[in-house]
Amino acid sequence: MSTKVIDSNKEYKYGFTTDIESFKAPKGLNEETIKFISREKKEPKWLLDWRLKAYKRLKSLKEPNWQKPKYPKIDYQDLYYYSAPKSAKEKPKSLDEVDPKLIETYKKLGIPLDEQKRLSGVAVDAVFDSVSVATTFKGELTKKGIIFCSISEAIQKHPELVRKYLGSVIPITDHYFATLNSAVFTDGSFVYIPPNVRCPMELSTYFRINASQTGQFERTLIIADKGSYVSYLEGCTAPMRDENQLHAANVELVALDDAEIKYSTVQNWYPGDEQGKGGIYNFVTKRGACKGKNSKISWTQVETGSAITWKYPSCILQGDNSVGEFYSIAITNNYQKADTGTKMIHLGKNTKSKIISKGISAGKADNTYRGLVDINRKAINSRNYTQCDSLLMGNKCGAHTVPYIKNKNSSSIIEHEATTSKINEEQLFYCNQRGLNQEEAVSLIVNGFCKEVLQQLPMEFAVEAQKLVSISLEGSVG
Amino acid sequence: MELNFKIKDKSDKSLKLREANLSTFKKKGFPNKREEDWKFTDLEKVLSENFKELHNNQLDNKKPNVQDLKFSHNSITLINGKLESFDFKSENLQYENFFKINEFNLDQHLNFANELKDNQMQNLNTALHEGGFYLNIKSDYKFKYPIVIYNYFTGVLKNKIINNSETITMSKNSDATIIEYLIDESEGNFFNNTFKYINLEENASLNYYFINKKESNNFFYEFSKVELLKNSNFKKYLFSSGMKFGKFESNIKLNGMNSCGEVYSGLFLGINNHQEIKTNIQHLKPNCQSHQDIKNVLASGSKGVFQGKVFVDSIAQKTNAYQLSKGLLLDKDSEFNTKPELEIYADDVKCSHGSTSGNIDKESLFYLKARGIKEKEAIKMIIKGFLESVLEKIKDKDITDILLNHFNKHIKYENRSN
Repeated sequence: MSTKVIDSNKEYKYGFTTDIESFKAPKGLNEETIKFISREKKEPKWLLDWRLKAYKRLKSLKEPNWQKPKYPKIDYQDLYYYSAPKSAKEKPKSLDEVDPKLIETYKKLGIPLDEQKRLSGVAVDAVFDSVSVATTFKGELTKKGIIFCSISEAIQKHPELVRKYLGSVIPITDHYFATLNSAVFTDGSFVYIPPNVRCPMELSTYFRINASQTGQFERTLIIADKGSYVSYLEGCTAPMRDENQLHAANVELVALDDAEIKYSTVQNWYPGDEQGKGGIYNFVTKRGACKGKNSKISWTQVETGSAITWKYPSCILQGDNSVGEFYSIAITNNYQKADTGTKMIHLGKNTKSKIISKGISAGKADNTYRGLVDINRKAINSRNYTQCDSLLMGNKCGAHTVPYIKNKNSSSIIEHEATTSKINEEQLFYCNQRGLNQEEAVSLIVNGFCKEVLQQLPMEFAVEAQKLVSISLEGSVG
Repeated sequence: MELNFKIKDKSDKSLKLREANLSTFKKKGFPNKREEDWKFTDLEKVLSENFKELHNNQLDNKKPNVQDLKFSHNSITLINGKLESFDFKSENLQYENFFKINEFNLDQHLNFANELKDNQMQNLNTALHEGGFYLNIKSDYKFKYPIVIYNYFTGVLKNKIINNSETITMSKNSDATIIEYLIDESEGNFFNNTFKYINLEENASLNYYFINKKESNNFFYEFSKVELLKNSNFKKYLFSSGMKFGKFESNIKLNGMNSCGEVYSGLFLGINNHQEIKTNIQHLKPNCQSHQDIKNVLASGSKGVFQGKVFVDSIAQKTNAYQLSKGLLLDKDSEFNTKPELEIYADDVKCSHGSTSGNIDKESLFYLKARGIKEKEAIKMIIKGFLESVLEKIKDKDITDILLNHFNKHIKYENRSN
C-alpha cells in the first residue's frame, strides 16, 4: 500500500499502529513467510508444497489492470502475511475510543450495546462468544454429519476432503490475487454437508471474521455432497476497523449431484471517509462449481462498503441441468468504487443462469457491472437471463455496464437488458406529498429498486441489508 | 506471415511520417485478442491463417464490369480503393456550386488521423496510404438524389493490402444520402484497411448506407470517425450479405446540442464468415440522442460480434440512448458474441441496452406451419420479420428494394437441426 494512504489513515486514531511484531510473521512476501505460516499452523507437507507452488507461479504473474477503479500500487513486501489474534492491549479500551460515526451506525443498525462493544472489538471475549455461537449448535450439526469449522482445523482433522477440493475451483494457476491467496492464506471456514442432508440452520461467519481481524487472506471452502443443501451467510456488516488494507479472499464452492448452495454476503467493510481517504480494497475471488447434475449455486451479495470492491462471484455450470444465480446490489457513495458482477460459464446441457444486478451510485463514486455469460458449444438448450439496472444520484458519479455475452450454440437463448436512469421525480413527488422527507423518500424508492435482490436474502439479513442500503446513501440527497 | 511493406512518397516530410508510422505499427503488430477492442476478433490470427504474405505493391487495375443501380443517382467510382471517376450530372448544377471532390492527399488525411495515432491500424493506414477521396458538400445544399460510391475490387489482388481513406465534410444545413456499394470481383485474397472521417456541421444531415452486392471472400477493416455539431443528424446503415472477414468500427462523437447519431445493421452471415460491428457513441453535449439496432442472422459456422459502447459525459444531461443487439443462430456451429457497454456520468439520462441471442422461436414456426405454410417459407418469413425493425428504418424505397432483393437471394436456409 502506498505510504500516502497509510499516512492519511493515521488520522483515524483506531490505535492499530501499535507495535505487535511478536505476533506477526516478518513483513514481506517470500518463501520464508510462507514457511512461517505453514509452520505456525502445523500444516502437512503437501499443503506447504502447494503454497510454494502457488508462490512460484505468483512470481511470474502480473497484477491485472483492466479494471475500472485504479488504485495506488500495492507494495507486497510491506505487508504482514500472518498475524495471530491480537491481545487486548491493541484494541480500543472503551467505546469512547471508537469513531463516534461507527457507534452512530451501530445504533442505526439496531445492534444492542453489548454487541456494539463486541463488534468494535472492545470486548476481548468477542472471539470466544462467536466460537460459542458455533459450538452451541455443534452438537446438532455433528449429529447430521455436517462439518463446520475453520479451514485450519479442517486441514488437521479432515485432510482428505481439503486435499481433494482445495484449489479444485480456484486453481493455484488462477489470476494474481487468487494465486496470492493460495500462497499465503491464513484462515477461513470449511463446510462439508454429507449426502442427502439438509443443513438445518444457516451457517454464518458473521462474528468470526470480525473477531479474527487478521483475515486479509481468508480461504473458504464449501462442499455440498450429493442431494444436500446449505445456506451460508457471510456478514461483514460491522465496518472493519482494520488498517487500510488489501483484502484478497478466495471462496470455493463445490456442489455435487442434486446439491444446492446458497451463499449470501452483506459486505460493509470500511469504505473510507467522505474525502475518499482510507478504506478497504476488497479484491475477492469467489467461484462455485456445479459439478453434479441438477446442482444449484446461488450467490446473493449486498455490497455497500470498501473503498474499492472488485469481485465477480461466478458459477461454472458443469453438470447437466445445473443452475447458477447471481443477485447483487452494489452501492457506492462518496469516493467509493465498485467493479463487480459475475461469470456464468455454461458447460453442461440444459443449464440455466439468472443474473439480477442493481447498481446505485452517489456522490463521486463509480459503479461498474462487469459480467460474462458464456454458453459453450456442448451446453445445448441452455438459458440465461440478465438484468442490470443502475441508478445515478447526481452528475459527479458514474454508472457503467460492461457485459460480455458469448453464445456458441443455436439451441440456447440469452437475454440481456440494462437500464440507467435517475430516481423518478414523479415517485419522489408522490412520496413527498404523503409527508415523507426527501431522504426517507429516496430510501424507500431505492429499497424498492433493490427489492428483487433483497428478497433473496435470509430474513435476518434482509432487515439489516435494507437498513444498510438507507444508511449508505445518507447525505447523498439534496 | 511475411510483411512486404514498401514506402514511397514524393515529399520528404510525408515520407518521414510514413516511416514513423510504419515503425510504430511494426512494434505493435496486428491487433490480437489480448487487446480489449479485439477481444472477439483476433485479427493477427485471422490474417496469418489466411495469408502467407501481405504486400502493398502497385498493381495494374483491371476495368470492372460496370454495375449501375437502376434508380437516378450521382456516383463516385473507386477501383481498388482509389478514386477513378465521379458523376454528379443528376443534380443538374455546376459542380462548384455544391461540392468539391479531390483525390485524397496525405496532408489532409493527417488532420484527422492525428487523433487516432494510438490505433495501430491507423498507423498502418497512414504509412501505406494509397488513395481515396475528399468530399466537401457546401452549405445549404440538399442533394436531390443519393450519391452512390461504387467500391470495386477487381483484378488479381493476391496477398495485397489496400490502405485507403475517405473524408466527407457536410457543411452547415447540407443534406445527403450516400450509398457505398461494394462489388468484389477480384481474384485472390486481399485485405482492405480503410479509414473514414466524417464531419457534420450545424444542422447537417447524412444517411450513410453500406451494402455489399454479393458475398465476398475477402478481408475488410473499416474505421469511421464521425463528429457531429449542433442539431446535426447522422445515420449509418450496414447491410451485408456476408464477407469472409469484416470489422466495422464507428466512433461517433455527439459534440453539439440536439445532435443525433444512429446505427442500424442487418447482417446475413454465411459459411465461416466472421463479422464484427463495433460502435462507440460519445454523448458530449446535452440533449443528444443515439439509437442502435443491430440484427445478425448467423448460419453455417459463422461468427457474429457486436461491441457497442455508449459514453455519456457528466454535462450531457437529458441524453437519450438506446442500443439493441440480436443474434439469430440458425445452426449449432454459429456463434454470437456481444459486449454492449454503458459508461455513464450524468444522472438525468435515459440509457438502456438489450441483447439477445437464440434460434428461431419454435412456437412461431409452429404457428406458421399450422397455417399451411411450408417450413422453408415459414423460416424465411421469420428471418425477414427479424430484420424488419432495421429495414423499416429506411425511408428510401429504392434502397429497400435492393436490400430485399439481396435478402431473398441469400435466405436459402434449410433447417438442419431437425
